Amino acid sequence: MSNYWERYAVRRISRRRLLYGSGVAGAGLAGLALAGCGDDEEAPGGTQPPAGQTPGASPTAAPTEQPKRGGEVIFHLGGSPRSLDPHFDTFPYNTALTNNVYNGLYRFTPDLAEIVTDLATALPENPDQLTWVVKIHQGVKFHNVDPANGRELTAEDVKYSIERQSTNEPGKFQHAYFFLGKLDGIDTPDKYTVVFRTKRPYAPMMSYLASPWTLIINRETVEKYGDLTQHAVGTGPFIFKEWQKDVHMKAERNPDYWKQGLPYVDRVTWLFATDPDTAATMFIQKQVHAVIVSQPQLDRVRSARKDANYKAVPSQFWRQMRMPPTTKDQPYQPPFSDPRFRQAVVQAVNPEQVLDLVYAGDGVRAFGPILPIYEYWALPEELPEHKFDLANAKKLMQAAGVTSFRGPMIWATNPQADQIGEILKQQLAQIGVEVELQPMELAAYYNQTYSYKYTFSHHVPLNNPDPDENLSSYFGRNSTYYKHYNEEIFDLIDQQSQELDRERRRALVLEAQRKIVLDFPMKFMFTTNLHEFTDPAVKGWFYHTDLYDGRIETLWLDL
Amino acid sequence: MAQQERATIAEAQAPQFELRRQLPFYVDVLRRLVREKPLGLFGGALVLLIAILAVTASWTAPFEPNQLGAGGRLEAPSTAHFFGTDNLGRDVFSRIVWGARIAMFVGFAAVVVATFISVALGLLSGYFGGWFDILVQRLVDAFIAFPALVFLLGVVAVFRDWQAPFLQREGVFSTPVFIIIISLGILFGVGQSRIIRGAVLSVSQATYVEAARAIGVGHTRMILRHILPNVMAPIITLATLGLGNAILAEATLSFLGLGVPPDVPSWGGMLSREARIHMTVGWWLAVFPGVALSAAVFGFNMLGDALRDLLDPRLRTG
Repeated sequence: MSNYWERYAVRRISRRRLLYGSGVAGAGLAGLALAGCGDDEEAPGGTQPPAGQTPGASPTAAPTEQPKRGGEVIFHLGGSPRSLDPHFDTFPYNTALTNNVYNGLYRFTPDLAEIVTDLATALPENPDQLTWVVKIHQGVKFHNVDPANGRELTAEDVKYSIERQSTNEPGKFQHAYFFLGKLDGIDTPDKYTVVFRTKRPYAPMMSYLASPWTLIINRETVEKYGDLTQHAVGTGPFIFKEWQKDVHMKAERNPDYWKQGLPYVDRVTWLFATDPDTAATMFIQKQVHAVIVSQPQLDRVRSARKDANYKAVPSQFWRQMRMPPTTKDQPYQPPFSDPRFRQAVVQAVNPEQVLDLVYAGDGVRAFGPILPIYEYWALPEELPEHKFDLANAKKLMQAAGVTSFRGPMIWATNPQADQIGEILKQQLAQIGVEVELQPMELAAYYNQTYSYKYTFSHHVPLNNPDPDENLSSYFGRNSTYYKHYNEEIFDLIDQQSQELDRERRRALVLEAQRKIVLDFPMKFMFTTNLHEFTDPAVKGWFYHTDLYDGRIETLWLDL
Repeated sequence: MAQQERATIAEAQAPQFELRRQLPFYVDVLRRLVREKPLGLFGGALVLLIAILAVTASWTAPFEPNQLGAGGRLEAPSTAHFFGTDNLGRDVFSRIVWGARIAMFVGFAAVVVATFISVALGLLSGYFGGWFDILVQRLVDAFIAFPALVFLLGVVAVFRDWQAPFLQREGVFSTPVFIIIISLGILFGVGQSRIIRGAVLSVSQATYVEAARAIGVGHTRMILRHILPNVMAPIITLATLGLGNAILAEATLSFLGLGVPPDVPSWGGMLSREARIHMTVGWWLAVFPGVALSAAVFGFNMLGDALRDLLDPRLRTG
């Protein structure tokens, strides 16, 4: 047997070993490359530029420019829709397509400043406080594809759509709070007139009629396919062509669109990429015309695409740390049944620390159920009882007689949400609340969330322009996204929804928010900024303030 | 005269011969590893270093692995923080040291499970043969045909919310870690059983086995006393090589968000979370966990490769 060291001087490393070594090195590099893949549902993020500032070129086209026809616009989307049904989903990936395949009666302007007509010819006539008469355009045709085959849209279609949306059927309740229980009936006196009769004065009626989810669908398509999960036939500017889950969606210009001359582009494609770095790279390499990136990618995109239109805006998505949902039959269990314990949990959470560490401070605090971006309706400052105060939280734990508590916390897993879970765990540990971290895959998380049975969760819900949507859908009598049983709060939310005087309604909205905050169902944390980019070739369109409104009929490409 | 010379030579050689024969088998393997397989030795040293770090993490790591604000946000490597800090101000070096613990724990535990499965299947299938062998091998064929990552993701996803009553809900000894260990063990064990079976078939034809059979040795004794000890070489080699793969698989699962809970520092989790979000501004977040992972896999592969050479009589030199 010879000694290797003796042979070393005369033996060269064999080819086999060389290949093996390089293979291992390759495995190491592959391990590093892993860091560039994955998924992240959250687009928000952003650093230095203050909200609303536009350091790049103007995000909208100069009004004097003459729109050009043709071309294909390609968008990045952070994920694939769960369904193409506009009535029974809550993902913005859904409305990116459906807001271009369907029309609604009304829409918000991109800045949410006012409501304008879509299928309706004018704002509703109100002969009294309970009646809303809406006239719709004549000659509006569904897409000339099976089974609609270019049939004219009538008032019956509007009635069918609103009634379809107003269901409490399990799994289909997402937007039921818009009209379910609020309407006394819908009449169609003629083909082009719809009359909504509400049971009581209903302040958010116009907001819900203008919602990106309140779209007018085609009855025959529902009847033919059973649902609209995979199919979309409407009256909108684009005709749905293809949805390949987790890959892309495609639509083509509707040549018979009832709005003369629109849309301008021939085709639109939405490419799905969940990883924020991939999204940034797609835009840098000009594979997509528009993208929303997170704060860590911001500098890279801005330095690589100095030509791009850019805007930083506060997101409508915001972070809450929730405690157990409650109903009449599912009240709080100890120790949550003691409001002092709930307040201790709320005051032990330091949202500023979470915002600073995870998002580099790029966002704004939330003080209640309505975000500061809706300044008129939001609580102007944080109530003292809700503020981070560790010393008081410890006192409250003592007063409640709770020395320790252990319970699971769930959330939809993604890198940033996982880090938030880790921070919350450490913050709550300081008052003796031991949190077991249980990140969940998105679909499983939603199933759990909407079973309304969990101990802690941290969640990213949506805030909407009308205060009723932010109050009733989470804290109202028929809430869908969360359950918090408190008759006093229910009554206040009902009252504000029936108050047509704006100032008086505001007072009720503020009062309802105070009651909610002081009942300590959750910690209202923060919203992060969005960093929106479009290619300079994109004219006539920029991301709408309400990201759920994905309509691009006025977009044209300056190629 | 010539006879005397031959006797002298024989005497001179005798002690050497005796010395070699007196060395225990594994000491001899170790000696040969040092003398003949420097890369294997280097791999073994790497493995030993990582194992020491894993065991002594509480003393070796300068900070608690999850300590927020141990340093500033995204600080580059410095004398205060050898591998820099992440966006939560946590010390990356400390997290890598603690990550070694979960990597080694999952790796060793998964290999124990895999070895048990592969030895059980391989021994029984190879020894008994016949319809039992055919049935087992077709099942193994079917399993091997199933994509490994799909199997892992499926098992972990299905049992993700299950809680074993005898395990903690979080931490190293928690149900999610247990599920990863079991699924990796099944994955590697079933595949490796084919190699063990091959070795068993070869040994079963040996003369000493025939002799044992002729004097009426029973199945249990035959398997445990005569077959198993003679297939230990491939078992040890497979286990060593499997460790690297198990560590890589755990990191992959953690990277995909299906691994250990987020508050248990793991190399895959570090790559998946802080590195994935911030690696464009903090290269150290991706490089150091990546290097740790590569070093562990490299170490086990080199060691396994060397052991295979040393333990397989067909590959012996000298």
